Amino acid sequence: MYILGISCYFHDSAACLIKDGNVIAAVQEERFSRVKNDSTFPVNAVEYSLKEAGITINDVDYVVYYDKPLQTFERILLSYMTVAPIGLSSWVKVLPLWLKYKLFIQDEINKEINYEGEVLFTEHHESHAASAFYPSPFDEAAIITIDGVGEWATASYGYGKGSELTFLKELHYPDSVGLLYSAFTYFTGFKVNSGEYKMMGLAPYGKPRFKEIILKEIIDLKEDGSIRLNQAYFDFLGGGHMTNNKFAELFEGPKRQLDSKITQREMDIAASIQAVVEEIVLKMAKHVAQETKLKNLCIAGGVALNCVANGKILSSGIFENIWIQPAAGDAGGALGAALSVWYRFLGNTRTNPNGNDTQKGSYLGPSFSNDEVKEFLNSNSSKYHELPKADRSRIIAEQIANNKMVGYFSGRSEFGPRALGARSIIGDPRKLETQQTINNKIKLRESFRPLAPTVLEEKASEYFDIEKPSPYMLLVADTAKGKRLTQKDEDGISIQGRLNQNRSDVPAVTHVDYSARVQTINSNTNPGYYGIVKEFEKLTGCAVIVNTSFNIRGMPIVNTIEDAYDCFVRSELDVLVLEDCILYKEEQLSVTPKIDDIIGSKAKPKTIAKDNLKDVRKFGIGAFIIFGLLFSLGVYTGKAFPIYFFGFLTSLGVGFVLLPQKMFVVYKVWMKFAKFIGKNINFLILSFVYYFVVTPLALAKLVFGGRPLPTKPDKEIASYWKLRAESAQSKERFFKRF
Amino acid sequence: MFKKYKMIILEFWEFFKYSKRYWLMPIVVILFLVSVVLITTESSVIAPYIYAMF
Repeated sequence: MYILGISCYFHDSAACLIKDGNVIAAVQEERFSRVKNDSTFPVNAVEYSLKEAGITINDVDYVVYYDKPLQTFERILLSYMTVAPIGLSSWVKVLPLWLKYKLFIQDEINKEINYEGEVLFTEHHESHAASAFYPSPFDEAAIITIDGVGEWATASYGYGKGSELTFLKELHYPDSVGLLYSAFTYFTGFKVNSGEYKMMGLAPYGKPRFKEIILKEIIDLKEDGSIRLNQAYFDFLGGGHMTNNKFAELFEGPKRQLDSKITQREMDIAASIQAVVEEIVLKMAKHVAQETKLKNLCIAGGVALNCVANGKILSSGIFENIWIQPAAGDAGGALGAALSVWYRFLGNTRTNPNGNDTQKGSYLGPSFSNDEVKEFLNSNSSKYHELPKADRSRIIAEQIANNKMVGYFSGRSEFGPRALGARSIIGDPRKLETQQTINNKIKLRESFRPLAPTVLEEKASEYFDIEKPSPYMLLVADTAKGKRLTQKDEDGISIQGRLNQNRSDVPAVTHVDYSARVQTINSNTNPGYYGIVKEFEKLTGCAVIVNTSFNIRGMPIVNTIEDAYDCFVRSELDVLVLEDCILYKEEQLSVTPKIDDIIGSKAKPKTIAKDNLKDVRKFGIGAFIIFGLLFSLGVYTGKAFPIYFFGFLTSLGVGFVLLPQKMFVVYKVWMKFAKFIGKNINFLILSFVYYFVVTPLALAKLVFGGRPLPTKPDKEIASYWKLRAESAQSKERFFKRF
Repeated sequence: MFKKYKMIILEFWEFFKYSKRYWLMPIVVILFLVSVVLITTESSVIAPYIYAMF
């Protein structure tokens, strides 16, 4: 039985196909569309997933969407009612999308992928929880999900046992750890939903001198990890900016503008919010451990990508084992939704995983054969060498040891934001300059961004303070004391100055606070990649290599051979490994035009498509009938204006029908004008509804029942966690959009 | 299209019974009426003819 999970329309859209409970494919749409964090319907991801399984959409038994649109819509309405009459500019943008697409997801699925069967729905946090528990190595585990917001829930906890999920409590919007972190991401001058990693990477440069202010003014943190945001400092309820002027006053001035210089203030703010989030997450973990009395923990949701906080949970010993879904953000919702249907809706039994996860190393995306690689390289007249199987790892390791930056493309691509050795840039961690070369010359990104290490699983604790495997690069650990170098006092030294410090035996992957986002690798999960690190160790005595995602700033990780080759020729990568072929930059002559040819071949033809001409004719027939009738009415009443005006439009209609090719430009101008007028009319209608329907109802609610959403901390209550109406959605509700 | 709107309004009613927020029903009905207007005025079938008259 095939089940297709879909997540889209918020951020990081993705598709996942499972067969009898086993994951066949899971991939984000951004990898195909080349738009980072693409939120559009994952039509390419679905197409790939079906191709991977060798089936068509007609073979799919269920399609499941990862969210409950009616609940989310209710939350959005109440959010606007809390701030009305403020919020109009966002209302007029958001409402049409909901009224046209998001509420009618079945129609969109039908339209985009021609699926005509039943569409099921899982709750957003159920999708996250399922994505965390079902692929985990545990038969029984506590589950925590934390993100920006789903429908109402912004965090939830419960437990999984066998095939069952039980949800105990939730934290509700607008009280959200994810939105809190995003607000600070915005304030420190990074993009919300993509800059959170950057702020996390910036935090070690700062001192948490604002932590107490955040805890005193911005949030109310209870002992059980539940929080309330003081909305006096935020602006997101009305869909405007994340933070307001009052917020800025607390943090010594306005927000940093995008791409302007990062100052010590931003570093201190980043350090402060990171410390706060760690405290929240640790308190939550402690509370959940007390409530569930379980020793294993599964985590998912966007906040689960905060690997520093994850590392703190692990090192705290609150839980013996933790497992984090590698695609912890919304993309992973597609996987969780599909698995939830298999286990919860269909009632299938989950066999005890006995300590082995079923995520398959998260290598769940597209792959390419050697023949495809060679065909591409030959057609591109690129100079390459075939790597003999026996020497493949050694040759690549030698390149790394010779301080070459290698683009490594091998096997199925990773599902989730981390490159794990299938689409990676790899380098020598022993050289400090590797970090600067990769950031400044290859990835063209901020110089402060840390690089991650891949370490042989059996040697991990020799280099880092980590006792458990971290195959998905979702745990941060300190560099082992024995590998550190003595450090000078760095107070007052600039970012660049601090970057230039040799901190350990592997300085390129040692952050300024000696931390590292560790990926452990073993020979079972990815033997090819393991072999390279092993050979590197033989050559150099160092069991660690640098691993960072194979992309440049602002672009998704490379997906295809073309993407990888394009990145290779346009950056300062020295070597490119495409499956069993290796390319050296110095051997390539003129490669860029070929890529341009490829891009050019994909460009849209300039001739007018047949379908377009059909549209023009259809439009002409309509114009002829409508304006012809009005023209006749003019003739009947004997009025000059309708006769001439509608007569002219009727004749245009005839022109559209008879000469569609020649009238195409007129048709385009007409449509553009129509769209422009339409937008303005829509704005007026929606404004009217906002001021004359939503606002009065909001005022009535305020007078008779208070604000629809909580906006201030409540010191009287002990917890902000809310009990759920039911421990998990019933089977019947899988069919409902709520 | 009528069936689509009828279905979602009924599902909203069922949902508000579940969430006990009946008072949101009028706003939802008004929004769907608006959405019919929005879709009509933006649809390439009728809209472009209407604009020519203004």
